[in-house]
Amino acid sequence: MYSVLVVEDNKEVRSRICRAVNDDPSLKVFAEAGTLSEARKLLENELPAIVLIDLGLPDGGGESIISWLQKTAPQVETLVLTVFGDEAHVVSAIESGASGYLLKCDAVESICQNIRLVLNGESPISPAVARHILNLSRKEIVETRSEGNADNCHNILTPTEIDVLRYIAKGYTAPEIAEKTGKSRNTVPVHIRNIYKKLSVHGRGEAVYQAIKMGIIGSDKVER
Amino acid sequence: MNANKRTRIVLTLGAVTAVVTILVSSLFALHNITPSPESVIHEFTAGVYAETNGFRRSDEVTLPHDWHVQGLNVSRLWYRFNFSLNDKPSLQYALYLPIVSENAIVYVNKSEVGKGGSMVEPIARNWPRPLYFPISADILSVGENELIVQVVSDPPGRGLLPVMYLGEWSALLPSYNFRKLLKHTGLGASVVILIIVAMFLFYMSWRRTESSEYAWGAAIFLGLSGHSFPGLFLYSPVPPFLWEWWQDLCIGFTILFMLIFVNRYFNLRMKVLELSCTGFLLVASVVALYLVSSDQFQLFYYTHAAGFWGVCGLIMGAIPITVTLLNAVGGRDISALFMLCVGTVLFVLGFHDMLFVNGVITRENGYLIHYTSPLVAILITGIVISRLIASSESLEELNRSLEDRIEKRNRELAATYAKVQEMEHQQILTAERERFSRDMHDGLGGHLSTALVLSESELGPKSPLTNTIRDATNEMRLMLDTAAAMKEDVGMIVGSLRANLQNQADIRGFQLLWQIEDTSPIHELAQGFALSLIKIVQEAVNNALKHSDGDVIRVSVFDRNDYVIVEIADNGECHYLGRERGNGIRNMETRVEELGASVKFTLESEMGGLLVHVRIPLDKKSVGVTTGLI
Repeated sequence: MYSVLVVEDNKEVRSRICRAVNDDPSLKVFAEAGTLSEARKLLENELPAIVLIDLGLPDGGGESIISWLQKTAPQVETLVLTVFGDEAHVVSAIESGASGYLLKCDAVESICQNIRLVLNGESPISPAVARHILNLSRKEIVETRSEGNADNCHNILTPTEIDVLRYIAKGYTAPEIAEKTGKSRNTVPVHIRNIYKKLSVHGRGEAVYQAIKMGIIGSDKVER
Repeated sequence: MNANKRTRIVLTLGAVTAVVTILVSSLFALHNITPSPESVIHEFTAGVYAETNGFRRSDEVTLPHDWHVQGLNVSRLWYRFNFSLNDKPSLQYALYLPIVSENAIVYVNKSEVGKGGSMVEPIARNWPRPLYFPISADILSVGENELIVQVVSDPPGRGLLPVMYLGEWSALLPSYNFRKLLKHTGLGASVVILIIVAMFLFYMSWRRTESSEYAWGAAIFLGLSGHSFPGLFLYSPVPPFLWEWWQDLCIGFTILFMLIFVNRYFNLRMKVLELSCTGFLLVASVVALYLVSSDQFQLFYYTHAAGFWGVCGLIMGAIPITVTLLNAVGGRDISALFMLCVGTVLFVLGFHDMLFVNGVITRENGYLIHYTSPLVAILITGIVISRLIASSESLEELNRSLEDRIEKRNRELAATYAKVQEMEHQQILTAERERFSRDMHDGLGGHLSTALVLSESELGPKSPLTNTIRDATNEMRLMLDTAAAMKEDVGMIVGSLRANLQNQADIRGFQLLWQIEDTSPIHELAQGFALSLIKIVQEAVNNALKHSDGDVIRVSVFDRNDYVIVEIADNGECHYLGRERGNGIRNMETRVEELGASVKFTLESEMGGLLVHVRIPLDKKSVGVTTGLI
């Protein structure tokens, strides 16, 4: 059974998610929190298998918890709770290290299904998010080429990953993509997971760079 | 040497020879004009001469009588001529002496008829002036008459008595006037012209310090005018020997200036030669001044040194002519040809002057070098003007080029500015969209999710209110998705609808066939394109789901020629498309028109049901809005 921490400031929504989680036999709510500070305290004592977290909490953005977990406890899967699953929120969460996202208004069954997907090593993705990642990837390729920086090449998506993203952006489902690309149905989620990982590396690198630039952390403290 | 070069040399030399021949011939033809035979009563060509008036020791003489040529180093000679008249003249007569060096006094039948100025020091210097003495009929006799002419020269040995003409006063006058115009008035005019042009060139040189040839051109003009200048004075303001020295000096330095001018003009570096010539001339000038001012050597200078000057001048003058010739033959500069012609004329006339100065030929023609002044003035002024024109053309070209560059830069700047403005605008729009999206998410989104949760818990997940709130949430999600999809391709815009349509199809028990191909990007997407397109597709699918009794819907996106096609087809029977069209169809048509696209509704399509065929032009130019029913 997997323990789940739910971090959401809206009490009704939080209760609904907690109910949905508890209704699933393989999942159990380990704790629930309405603020960032509450969540931190809980995580300092014990780590759950999954953290469901809202980005817009009253005392700060949920990205800081995601980044912290990514650094200190990468085994913990994090899913962002969002109303619309819009690219701005989702992609920034993925860059912080989130494994995916959950729509707050999704049906209860969908919530649990998506949590299980993540636990199985898959990640949910919408056409809008895929489209946004494709745009990011295009920019990344252009910048890497113009800088001639070979070190950044590992962040660039492979042609297959780009193909997968293009199909997702056009609304195709994983089985349809597998059929069109002639690959196994199971490889599509793996590609998506890899894409998320690359985004996360990119996001962290960028965050560290920005932090050094702003003087929040010294360059000597950065471990690569 | 190749054939072309040889031909060019022959042609150049031919042209130069022809021009020089024509110029020199014309000059001599004009210069040596003699009175017409009708106007001459007696032409004095032979007589006797003596050193004293008494003619006790006299010798026969043939005119012109040049003392230098004859080796007579004297200051004064008397000439006697006899002539006879058949009738007593009824009109006034005149005696015309085309040239005399330096001065003469004329007596007819013992009566003085005129003189060219003072016969004692300072002796009048008449070498560039013809003399013309009216003779009263009273002193002439029928039968034999006697003409006595006394000629004085300072310096000694330079005297000359030319062939003289006796005739009626008015008949001889035109010849005298013409000669005076050529030898005296022309000389004065050339001096004035040369000085004015020299001043102009000095001014140019002062303004354009990088072009030194202007200054050297001006120096040539001053040298030439300095040489001719003494001819304008009847009485020398300085001792005659200084006057002579000054003329030699001027001609020497004029040749040096020509050498330097030509070198500068053709960008030749002959510094050693120029310095050597300058040094030689300076030393020679000092030595000459010493010789000419010394009682002991003055005669020597007059008889020998002038020849030395002449030879040196000719040698030095040959250098610029050779340089010009080489440039003219090389064809590097068209003005070199003209320069060569003028230089050759200068050389020929200078050679003539050198010959008479050295007593090889008579000084009957006087100096000819000053006749080149107009040519030199035209040449150098022409060069200066052509250079000015070239400079101004080059300046204009530069200005034009600069203006073009400025205009181009301005256009680039304007384009960049417009681009920056557009980017700023886009940035503001993006920021605004993000803010809007954030606000929607955090504010409205929060309320919607709370409302949905509350409605679900109070009324159940299938209640109309719960469904309405869920639809509102989905609608909002769609709007947010499409807000950022302005620059995407049509396939991706339609792609964002998949989950929504799939959900609705599943609820209605329809199979959704999804066929989205890669499509070309559409230029200049209309505002709100993505949302309008999505609404069209959504409306078409909704209509099929609600009003057709089929069970399969196909959504396709593909390219056809210059259009992107979006098709929604079903396999049911269409119950909603007929004479009375619903709001949904009208909305669809309006939205299609807003996109600049066209829509066709086809009943009984290949799938069996209605086919909604939306045709979006890739380029706005090919937009043709048509809607219709097939």
